[in-house]
Amino acid sequence: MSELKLNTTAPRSGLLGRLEWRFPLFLILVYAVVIPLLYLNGSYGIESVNMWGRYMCFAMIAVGLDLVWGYTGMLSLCQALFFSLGGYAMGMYLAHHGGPEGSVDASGWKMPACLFVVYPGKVGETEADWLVPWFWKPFWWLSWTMVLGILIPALVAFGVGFFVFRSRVKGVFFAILTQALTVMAASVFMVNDMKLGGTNGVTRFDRIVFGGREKIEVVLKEDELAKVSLTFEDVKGALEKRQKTKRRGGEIPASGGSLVQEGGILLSTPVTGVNFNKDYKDLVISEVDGKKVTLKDVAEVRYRGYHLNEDSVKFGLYMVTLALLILVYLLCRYVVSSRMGRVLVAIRDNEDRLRFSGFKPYKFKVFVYSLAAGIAGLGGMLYAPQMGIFTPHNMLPIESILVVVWVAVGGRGTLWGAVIGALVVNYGYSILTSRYPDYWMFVLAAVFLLIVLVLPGGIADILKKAMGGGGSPRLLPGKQAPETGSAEDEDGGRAAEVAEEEMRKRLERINLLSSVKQEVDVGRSLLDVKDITVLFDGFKALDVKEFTVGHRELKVIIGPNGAGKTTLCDVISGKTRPTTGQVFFEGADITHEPEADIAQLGVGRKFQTPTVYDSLTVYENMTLALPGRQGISLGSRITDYERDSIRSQLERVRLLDDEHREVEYLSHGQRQWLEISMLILTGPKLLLVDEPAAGLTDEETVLTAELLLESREEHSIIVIEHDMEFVRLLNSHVTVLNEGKIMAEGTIDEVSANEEVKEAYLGR
Amino acid sequence: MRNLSHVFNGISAGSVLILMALGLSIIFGLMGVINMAHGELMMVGAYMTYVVMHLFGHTESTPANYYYIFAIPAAFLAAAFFGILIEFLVVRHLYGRPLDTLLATYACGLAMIQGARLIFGDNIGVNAPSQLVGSFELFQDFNIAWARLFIIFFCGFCVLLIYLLMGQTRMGLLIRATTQNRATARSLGVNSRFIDSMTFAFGSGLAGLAGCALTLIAGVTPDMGQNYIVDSFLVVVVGGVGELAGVVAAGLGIGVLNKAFEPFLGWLFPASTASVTWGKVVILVLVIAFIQWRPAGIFPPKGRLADV
Repeated sequence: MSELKLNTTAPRSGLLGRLEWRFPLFLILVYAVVIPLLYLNGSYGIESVNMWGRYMCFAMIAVGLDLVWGYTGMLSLCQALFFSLGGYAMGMYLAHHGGPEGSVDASGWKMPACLFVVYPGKVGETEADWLVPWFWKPFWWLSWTMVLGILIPALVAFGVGFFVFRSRVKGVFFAILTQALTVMAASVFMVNDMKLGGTNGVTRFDRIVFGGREKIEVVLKEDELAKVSLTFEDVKGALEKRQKTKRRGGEIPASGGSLVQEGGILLSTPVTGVNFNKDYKDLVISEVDGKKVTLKDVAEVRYRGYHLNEDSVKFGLYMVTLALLILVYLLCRYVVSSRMGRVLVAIRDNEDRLRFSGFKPYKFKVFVYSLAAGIAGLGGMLYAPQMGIFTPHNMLPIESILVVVWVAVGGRGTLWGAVIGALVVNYGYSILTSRYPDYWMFVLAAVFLLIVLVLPGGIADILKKAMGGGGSPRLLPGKQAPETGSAEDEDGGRAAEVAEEEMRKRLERINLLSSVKQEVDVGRSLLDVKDITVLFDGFKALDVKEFTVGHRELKVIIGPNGAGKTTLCDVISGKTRPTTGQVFFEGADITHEPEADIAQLGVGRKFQTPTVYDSLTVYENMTLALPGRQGISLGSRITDYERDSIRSQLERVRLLDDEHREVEYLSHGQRQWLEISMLILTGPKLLLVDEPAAGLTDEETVLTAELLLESREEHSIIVIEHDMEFVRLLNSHVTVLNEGKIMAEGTIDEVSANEEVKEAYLGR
Repeated sequence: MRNLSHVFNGISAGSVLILMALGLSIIFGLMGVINMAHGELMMVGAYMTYVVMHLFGHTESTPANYYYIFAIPAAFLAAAFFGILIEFLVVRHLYGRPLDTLLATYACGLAMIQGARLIFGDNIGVNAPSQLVGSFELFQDFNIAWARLFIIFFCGFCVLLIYLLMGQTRMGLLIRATTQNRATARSLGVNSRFIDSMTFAFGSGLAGLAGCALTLIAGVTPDMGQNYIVDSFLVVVVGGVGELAGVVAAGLGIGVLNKAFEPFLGWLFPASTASVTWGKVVILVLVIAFIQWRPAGIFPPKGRLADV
């Protein structure tokens, strides 16, 4: 169900000439050089820098979605959920270390201020029962937070993807299920009892601290100390005592920890949580005549760390986000330019072909979905500190739709288009919502409609055309590729003579090939079909008692429409499960094996209509058929041997000249050959070929026959065919199927003489 | 007995879902597209009911109860009109691109929500005809709200009508033919574009009816459809595309389960006040589990059709 044909190969003209590098480099120039310089020189406000920082977080989700949607063709409507899972992870960390009014729970764990939405308020709970929930605790440490912020969204995507993709849910069903997921998640996060801050989300962020311990700086004011005639040592003593004393009447353990003197500063590093106000600011140092002197009277008390409200920290976060966005882009670029990237495009183009080539597409889908989710989580983690709050509204369905809008506007299937889309649309949003808040939705809807209806290639397509980088005509849907006629048609009379001569030679060769009796090993058959019946709603589509194929045997199945020929192929290759009976391949029962496993065992299947990967080149199509490479891998290179075998096979079917053309430009016959070539390259033990001659010219038919007869040397073949001329060319054992049953078997002449067969065919 | 009330409420909620899902399913079956503005078409139906109520000057104190009789066709026609508009302006141009259609119709939905918000404000209420206000006690502790009872019968009536329309009329025959094989139907002279438009309008009108019915038991807000589109699609997923019986079974099932989980989850998590949310979670998990077992719905298509 490929929505659009997208360019996957860029014009190859040097690194800087390539669009996928030129635009990112331009963006990097703007965001890494121009904006920082303008900011440092004071002409660009920190608010704007911060805004771009947040938009770059959005760009990360967009890049992830482009992998999933633009390349693999799966429209996920819950990317904002993954973003939010990362955002919540970081938000919980920041809330842990935020809000100086935060108190301490009964076990001495610091209570994040935003949890007060939930506590207090439960009937029957005393203050002593307030405990920070267990799932908050890993988010005390930045290191755990960073790991979990990526891992949790990735795992959620893995779980969802595993079950959904395995049951082959795709297209709009997948889109809606993911939307259901985010609707559900948003309402779960909004529940107060989840102890995630309810609709208010996680708030009261203050600072980023490295390491697990809070550090509190006590900057002593000498003059204030002198006024109340206290010394440095008094303060230090009071703090030390504080750290060793149990709190709230012994309910809460002592905070413990170290106290270090750094010049005029005392640095307190408690082991457990502390109540900043009670334990520090209001700490009584001395009490003279009922007049208390507290710590805040004689010193400035503050947390050490990178405070999010400081401009330098905001700028730092901007730069970190930029660096990580570049890394994410490079990672995704690596994935799409690897073999994996071609598999992803192949999934979009033709998932069935992959499956019958021995791939398990769901594994690739799960992988890329989890990767995109992890990237979105990273974006969320960087977004939380720059936004200063993280609420469940970030995972409402509309937020995920917006991600789709960014990618669509920027141009899907390019990666850099997704980045541009995220930045441009959000900038437009920031301008429009401040001026015309009521009409933003209309503008958004209009832009979205315009892109989908008129400009499916998005900004990327416009830019490509403007740069003369060959705006691909394939970006426009519904445009038919020009049919390529074979060269012989154009070269006039002389060529026609050559062609005739060639044809004659070919026919001779076919006669020779087909007259050689194959030595069929009768004792040990390759394929055994036993007592197979297939019922469709009570209608018996297939009822085959016995059908065997020996090693290196070519069998032809003929029969009128609806005779069950294709169904028999479906049963053998695992596409249809028989109602009763068994299929044995090399003695092993494969009746209930998955299609990909059957293909891996050595059953190759060619479909009635050519199934190839339209937006990949001929060569790329062939690489996906290489044997023993159906697992998930990113970096494996094509060996010289593999390259040679691909090229020699292409030579055989006269496709070598078109090696680097995208398959959708090929003619019908060429696509048939490509598919057969791909199968032959896989080196199957048994080839199932469904109507290879359908829609071919005479000349193409002859070449196909030759191809099949030649490859009979290497594997057994079952050919399904209507075209009697073609069957005669093959001159092999023929089985006639009628109404699901085997009616006759023998040579072509024998079965043509059979009265029953005549009747079935001619309806006499 | 409280559980019985939950089941009853579930059936009435499920009835609205069925109406929504039937429209969605008929359109999806015929054209292979998901109309994400379907929820907003329901919203149009609900607002149309409100407008008709105003035109007739119906209020709680000065009832003009017969307004509802006019509101039903008005809601159907208004939603159908918007449906035709969407089909004509958007869906028609995206033939064969189901995901793009989904996105484009979503955009239409967003615009419609904002439009309703600008015209009507955020939250309005429709006063039900006074005959449908209140409830009666069937037996002890089992109260039946008239409005809910009405909705159940109304939906049952609509389902019957759809069944007859699809199964007994020439139009239904043409729709079914085009659903099964568009190319063949066209080559036999069926004007598939016209069929598309009419079906889209009809499916949209069903959403309008659902909206009209929903005003009796729920508030009218611009984004009321957003909550329904996902649920009604889940009904289609479970029921099977284009399967009348499947959709009815799945709609009732999901509606009842949704409500039935409320007391159960309340018992499971006594501290929790959010059993509606947990109901949603359980439903989604069940649906995902269900498609592991039956990827094509309760009544899957068989034979060659299964591949399509």
